[in-house]
This record gives sequence, C-alpha cells and structure tokens, in this order.
Amino acid sequence: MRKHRGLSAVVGAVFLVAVVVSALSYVTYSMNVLGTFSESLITEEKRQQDKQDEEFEIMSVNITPANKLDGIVKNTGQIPVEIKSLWIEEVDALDSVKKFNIGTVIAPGNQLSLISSVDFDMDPAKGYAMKMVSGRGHIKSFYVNSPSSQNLLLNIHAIPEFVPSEFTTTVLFTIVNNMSNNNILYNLIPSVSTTAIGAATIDQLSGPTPVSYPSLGPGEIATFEYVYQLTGDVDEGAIFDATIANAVAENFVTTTTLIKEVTIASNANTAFESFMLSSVQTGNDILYFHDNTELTPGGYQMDGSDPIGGGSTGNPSITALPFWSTNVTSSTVVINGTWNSRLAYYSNLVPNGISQPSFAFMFECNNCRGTGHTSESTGNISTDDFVKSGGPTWHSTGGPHNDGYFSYDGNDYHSAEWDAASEYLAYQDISTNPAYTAIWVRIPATTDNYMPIVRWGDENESNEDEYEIALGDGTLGNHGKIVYRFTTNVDTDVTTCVSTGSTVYDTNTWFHVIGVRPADDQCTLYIDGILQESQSHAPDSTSDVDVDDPDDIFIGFNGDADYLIGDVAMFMHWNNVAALDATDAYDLYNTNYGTNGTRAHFTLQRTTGTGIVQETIYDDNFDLNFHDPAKNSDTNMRYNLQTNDDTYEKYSFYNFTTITSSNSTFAIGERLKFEISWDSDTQNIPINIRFDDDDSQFVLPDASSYIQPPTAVPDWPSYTTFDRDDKVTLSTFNNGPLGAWFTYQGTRFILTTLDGTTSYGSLVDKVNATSVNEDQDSIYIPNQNYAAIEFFPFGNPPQIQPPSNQRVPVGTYDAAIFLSGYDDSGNIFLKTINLGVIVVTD
Amino acid sequence: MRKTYWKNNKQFNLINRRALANVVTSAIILSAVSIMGVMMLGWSNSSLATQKQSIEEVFSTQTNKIHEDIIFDNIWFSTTCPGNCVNVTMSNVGTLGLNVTEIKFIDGGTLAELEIFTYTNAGIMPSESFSTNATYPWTSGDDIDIIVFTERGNQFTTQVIAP
Repeated sequence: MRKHRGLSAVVGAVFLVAVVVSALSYVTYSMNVLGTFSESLITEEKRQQDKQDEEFEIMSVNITPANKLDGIVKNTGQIPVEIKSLWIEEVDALDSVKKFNIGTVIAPGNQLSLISSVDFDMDPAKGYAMKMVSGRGHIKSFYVNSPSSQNLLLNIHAIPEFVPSEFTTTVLFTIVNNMSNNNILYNLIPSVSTTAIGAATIDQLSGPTPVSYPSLGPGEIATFEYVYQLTGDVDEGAIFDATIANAVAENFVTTTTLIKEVTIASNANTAFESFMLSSVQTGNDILYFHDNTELTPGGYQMDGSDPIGGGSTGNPSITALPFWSTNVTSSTVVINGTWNSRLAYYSNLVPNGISQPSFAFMFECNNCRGTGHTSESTGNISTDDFVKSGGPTWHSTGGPHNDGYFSYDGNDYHSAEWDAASEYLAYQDISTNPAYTAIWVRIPATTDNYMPIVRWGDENESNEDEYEIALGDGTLGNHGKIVYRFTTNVDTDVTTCVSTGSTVYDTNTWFHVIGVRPADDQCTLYIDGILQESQSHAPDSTSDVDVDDPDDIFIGFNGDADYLIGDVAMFMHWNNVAALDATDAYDLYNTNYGTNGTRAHFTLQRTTGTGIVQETIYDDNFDLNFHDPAKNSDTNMRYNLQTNDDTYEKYSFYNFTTITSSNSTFAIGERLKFEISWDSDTQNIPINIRFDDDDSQFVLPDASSYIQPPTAVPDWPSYTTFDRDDKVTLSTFNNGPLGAWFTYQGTRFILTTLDGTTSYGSLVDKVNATSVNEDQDSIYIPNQNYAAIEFFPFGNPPQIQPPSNQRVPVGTYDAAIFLSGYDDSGNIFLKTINLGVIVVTD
Repeated sequence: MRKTYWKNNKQFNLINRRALANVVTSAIILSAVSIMGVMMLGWSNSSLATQKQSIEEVFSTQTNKIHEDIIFDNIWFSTTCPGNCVNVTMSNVGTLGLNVTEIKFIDGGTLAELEIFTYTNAGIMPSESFSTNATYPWTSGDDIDIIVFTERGNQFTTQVIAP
C-alpha cells in the first residue's frame, strides 16, 4: 500500500484542479455578468438623470399681427434640449389636432422662436390647447386664449358697492390659475358684461386694465380693473358678469353696484366729456399721420394733433404703413358716411423690378424751370432740361392715361444737350453702352415718309452718329411704320429695326414704343409691349454711338429739315443699363402714368387696444394718380427724384375715399387702424407718402397726409405727447343740458408714473383763453360748446411755473383730469376723467 | 519468508507476481479517476453552460426591459375615423427599439376591460413615434385608463377623460 500513496496525491490533485478551475470559471463569469449589469444600470441611471436635468420654459406665446402663432421657448436647464414636436388643438373642436415636428436642439440658456419653426394660423377669438414634447419625453401643456375645459378660481369686487348717481365704481376682477397639471395660461383676456338694474345708465370709463395677461403660471393671480360711471335713480344700478375669453360656460362671477343718495352735495347734471389733449389742436375730425410709434401695437400714430417735426416719407411698396388711433376713452360711434384720406405723395417713375431710367420726361408741367423749359424727373440732367423751340403746345390732360403731353406741329421741337458732365450727371454719351428708349406717341395721318420722334444726333453735324425712333425711314416701303435705328460711323454702319406687317401708325391713336440696343449691331423693337423685330448685324470696326455735340437730343426734329407732326406724352431713356426683356417691355407698356398709376391696398379696421381686428370697414385696392415729382417745378426751382424728401413742392395730393353704409361703434379701449400696403409690383408704380411734416406750406386741405373719418361721437382722442416745459391744453365738450363754469380750486391735471409711486400735478391757467385763478372762475361754457382748458406745466408740488428740477421728468404716465365747477342752476359738478397713458418729452 | 503454494503439482512463487498487481490496480484506479474526472468536467461544463445561458437570457431580458421607455405624446378623441376613435401617439424615448404588442382600454372607475387592440407591426425605433387610431365608441366624460404592452413585457399607463 505504501506504493499507492503517490497515486492518491495525483488523483487528489486532479480533482482539486478540476474543482478550482470550475469554481474560478464560474466566479469570473459571474463577475463579468455583474459588471455588465452595473454598466447597464449606470447607463440607464444617466439617461434618467439627463431626463430629470432637462428643463425648458415657454417664456411667451403670442399672436402676430398676421395672426400667426409666435412665442419663445427657452432652455433653462444645464443640458441641451431637443424640442421634438408641438401639438395644437382648438378647444371644443374635435379633430382639429395638428402636430408640428420641430426637431430643434436648444443649447442651455438659448431660445427658440416658435414662428421660425411652426407656421400656424391662429384665430384670436378661439382658444387653443397646446403640448410641447421634448426628445427626452418631457411634455409642457399650456393654453392660449382659453382655460380649456377646467374651471378657474374667479373673484369680482365692485368698490364701492354703493355710489351716488354719476359717480364711478371700480370693478376688480381676479383670476387664479388653479388648473391641475400645472398648466400655464397664455393670453388671458377678461370679459365683463353689464346689465342695468332699472333704467340706470352704465358708462365704461376705462378697462380692462391691463387689457390682457400674456401668461399666467400655476398659482399666479391676474387682476383686471374696470371703471364704470353709473347714472340713475336710487336703487338702480348695474350687475357685472365677468368671465374670460373662451372659458367654460359655467366659469363666471357676478357682483352688483347700486345707486344710493348722497346728501352732502347736490350734483349737477352737467356732463363734460374729454376729447383731446394736446398742446396744439387743429381739428376734431381729422386724424393726422404721425411718425411716432410709441403706444401703438406696431406702426405709427394718428390723431388730431398737428404734425410735429421734420416728418417722414414712407413707401408702402417697401414696408406697409399702418397708422393707429389711440384707444378711445369712451364708447365712440362713427356715423356711416365718407372716409377720406388725403395723401401727399410723389410717384416713382417705373414699377419695382424695372431699372430706373437715366432720364425721364413725363410732360406733367409746362414752362417749369423757366419759360420755354420742360423739367426732367430723375434729376440726372443737371441744368438745362429740355428747351422748347417754336413753341410745342402743352396739354395737361388727354394723354394715353389722360395725362399731360406736348403737341408738335411740324415747325417746333424740344432739344437738349448731351455732352457734358456738368449737364448730365451720369452719362455723357450713348457710346458703346447698351441702351433702350421708351415713348408714348400719337401721329395723325400723314403723307410724309419720315418724321423723327425722338433722336440723338444733329443731322447737320457731319461728325455725329444717330440714334432715333421715327415714323418711317424716308422710303415709301416703310411709310407709316415705326423705325428704331442707330449708327456708329456717322451715316453708315446702321442697325435698324422696323415694325412688322402692314400696320401703319399714323392713325392718330396713342401707342407705346420701346427701342432696345442690347449691344452694338443689335436692336429690338416693341410696340404696345409686343415684340416687332429683333435684328443682329455683323460686327464692324466701330461700336460707339457718338452724339456729344450741343443740342443733340431732339423731340420732333432731326436737327436739319424734318419735323414731327404729332403728340408725345412720355420720353424715357435707359443708358448703360442691361437690356430689358419682353416681360418688362410688356409691363412698361401697361404701366399707367395717369389716373391709375398706383394700386395701393387700403385697410380700415376697428381693433382692440392690442390690434386684434374686431371689424373691417374697408380692405381692398384703390387706384391713385401718378404724381410726377417734377410737376411743381417753377421758374426758380426744379424738383425731381433727387430733391430732398422734405421739400413740399415734391409732393402732389390725392384722395383715398370710401363710403360706409352703417355705423361703427368703438368700445372703450379700441382703436382705429388705417393701413396702406402693397399687393403687387407688376405694372404698379410705387408712391412715397409724406406725413407728420410741420412745414408751414402743408396747409389744409393739402396738409401732411391724414384721414378724415365720418362724424364720430364723441370725437377721437389723441396720443398725448407733450414737452415737459410746455403748457397743456385739454379740449372738453359740454354735453349739457346746462351751461357751466369751471372753478380754479379743484380743476387739476394729474400725471402718475406707471408704477404708481410718484405723481405730478398741474394748475389750471385759462379756459377758452380767459384766465382762471383763485380770484376768478372760468368764463361761461354754454351747453353744447367746447372748452379749451389750458394747464401750467406739471410739477411736484403743482405750481404756476415749477422750476426745472420740480417739473415732471420725461417718461410715460397715467393721466387723469379733475374737473370742478357749477352749472347755471347752481349745482356743482366734480368729475374725474382718465385719459390713459401719455408720454412726456423734452 | 518466501511463500509458496502448489497448484496442479506446480509450485508458484507469490513474490514474483506482486509488481503486476500494482500495475493493474494503478491502471484501474487511474482509469476510474480519469473517467470520473472527465464525467465531472463534462457535467461541470454542461451545467455551467446551461447556467450561463439561463443567466444571460434573464440578464439581457431584464436589462432591455429597463432600457425600454415610452411617453404618450398626445391622446385625442376623434369622431371621424370613421366613427369614434381615440388617437394614441407615443414616442420611444428609451435607448432600444421596442415592439408594441397590445393596447388595452380600461374603465378608470370600474377597472373593467373596455377594449383590447393587438398589434403585430408596431415597432418603434428610438426617438421615433407610433400613432394609432383605436376605434372605440367613447362618450363624453368617459374615464379611460390606457395601458400599452410591449413585447418585452413592459406596461406603460396613462389616463384620459373624453371631452
């Protein structure tokens, strides 16, 4: 047995090794599995952590003036966020769901503008539920214009609940966003309706203030303020029902205010209404266009205050010109009738998209820039214009578009020089350049085989080349045809285009001719926008149309013995401009230089204070006359496109007019919008409208541009911008039934900063130019008469002439007027009139 | 002392046969050990491989389940499917592709099964969405729990109320 001991060890070792290998193998595998599992868990945990770290906020949601959805989404977290999609569902409209794939990654701190990613047309009157989904699965739900189907916590209070007749009560309407899911409400718009108790009259003096809340987060509170004046007998009053736009039907609250007797004073029935506030007043029924943009929903102001400052010129073909009245401060009825906008403007010479001419004679004036002269409209010819010889006759109307023209009788002509930089600013010669020329012409029947219409080159000059549009070329075969030709070697090397077919043009009707020289030895001829002939000749040694001697451009003459018997209504030339194509030639022929030169688009609308359209009064194109900027040139001064835009004489006047057949009622806070815009450049000449120019030459009715609506009751309020150093005049109207006086004590004008922390007051100085002070009340204001109340500059403390450091600073303020007085029955009146927001300048 | 014995009148010497016995017994032992060792290794390998495969499957299944994640983009009610239906749009926000095999509508009040929809071609790749119109005669105010089942056995639940 001793000899088997070694074998036992071997056997034992084998077993041990087998067991150990198996155990190690299993343990190693288990470790690997655990490791992989841990990695997997870490990956998932990281994903969950990223999901938790992801944060984004919808900073704002709004509706653009074009009723598109807009808003800002901001990445407020520390990691990039992918905004994957936006779902939009119109509230209470099944199957209106739309999904917009966005797929935009926002870096931490950066923003995404919705309008660049989502093209969605919104109806401001409808509510929308929206969901924004991120790539990691976060969803933000929010509502625009609507609290969806959920009730909100609403409260309403009238303060005071009991008022004397003609006194005001303030209605405070509060909304708490207590919706589930932490949803955010955007564009919260309140709505308060009133019901009279008995025969009470309810006048809304202001509100809602603010007009809307752009957003209301979970738990946040919105408060809206309304001020009403109640008039009636004791125990009459008003019921106020409040809700919000697009709310669920049962979500409203109610409060009541009653009229009670006040025994400490008897109140006059005399009622004054505030209309306009301005340091300068002109008319109550005219709204001037201003170039100020403050306090508008995006555009320019218009109100009854006179134009102030140098003014501006706007071209609606480049940027639409929206003009906004300020919010009306009392319910305003615009009686049906004529809306008339008088526009001061000059026209461009060609539609957008067609090259500007090198020179243009529109023939809209005679003897302008001196007797015998005819002004040019581009301003490129510097001194001489065209000079008449033999007296061609000017006609102010009767042209192809009932515009002006000259008649030539066979012994007269126009001529100008074309040779010096001092006279023609850009081009001294046709030279080797491409060129084209357009005319409107009318020629009666003739036996003449050649009549020059427009021409470069004096036939008497032996060294001049020629470039002309003529009737015929001296041959019987081309009698009555239109010939466009030019030479580059005096009378040789001729390139000629002749009108096609047997048509003759001495028929005493207007026709339009364009001769084009795309390059030397090439010509193209269009008549009435139709291509007639296109010629190309073999190249030769010369390519220079050399016409640089004195008196070398003619209308109706060739410089020798041939004249035109006929009429020319327009003469334009393009030098060194790429040749126009057939489309432009057609459009140029169809462009109207008379009574329908411009098709501007006019829009008249009643809107909310923020510009949301409530009623469209007019929305269509309207034809306007062509206005040559050179038309008002006179002996001393020539006006043209290069004249400064602030020059009165550059402008002519024309009216946009429309007639309405029904009244329009503007609720408190609403505005009038008047916009001039542009639909198409095709055959449509842009205009340049002057507005807010206080040049003394702009005098009614030809004042700087304005609109005159039909009668409005009461009159339109104004934007109130005035200088801190100036006195301010308030126009009021005594609605009767009795006449009245204002008293010095108690008649004040107050400005309060928008945060309500500081106020400034103003003492009354005069009423209708008569002094008011502690020793003297105002002069008598009869029933149905205006009172212009003039106040001293604002100060704190209020005083007659506050020193500069006590005067109201430049800024934006809430304004209110306190009126105090008594009527001719002996009753007193006290009245507060809120004027809304005004701007103080320096 | 030498031992001898007789057999058939022949004398045998036992001392001379001892070495042979050792060899034989050693061979027998080694053979037995080898066979046992091979059997044990075989059993060990086979058993471990089975164990590994089992663990592998359990592990990958559980890991993949963990990585599956769905969010409900939007659920909206329609009346023009034709007829009433509920549109369920969901996105795969996990890291693996998944297959939706079933969507179940449960009454949120009574927990009764309202409708079951099965799907055989509803795979969703990561970051992709799947939308389906589930035809169901909903009425206004219905409180519906929606459960989405995936092929790996996950369930995702949301709750909606018909408008």
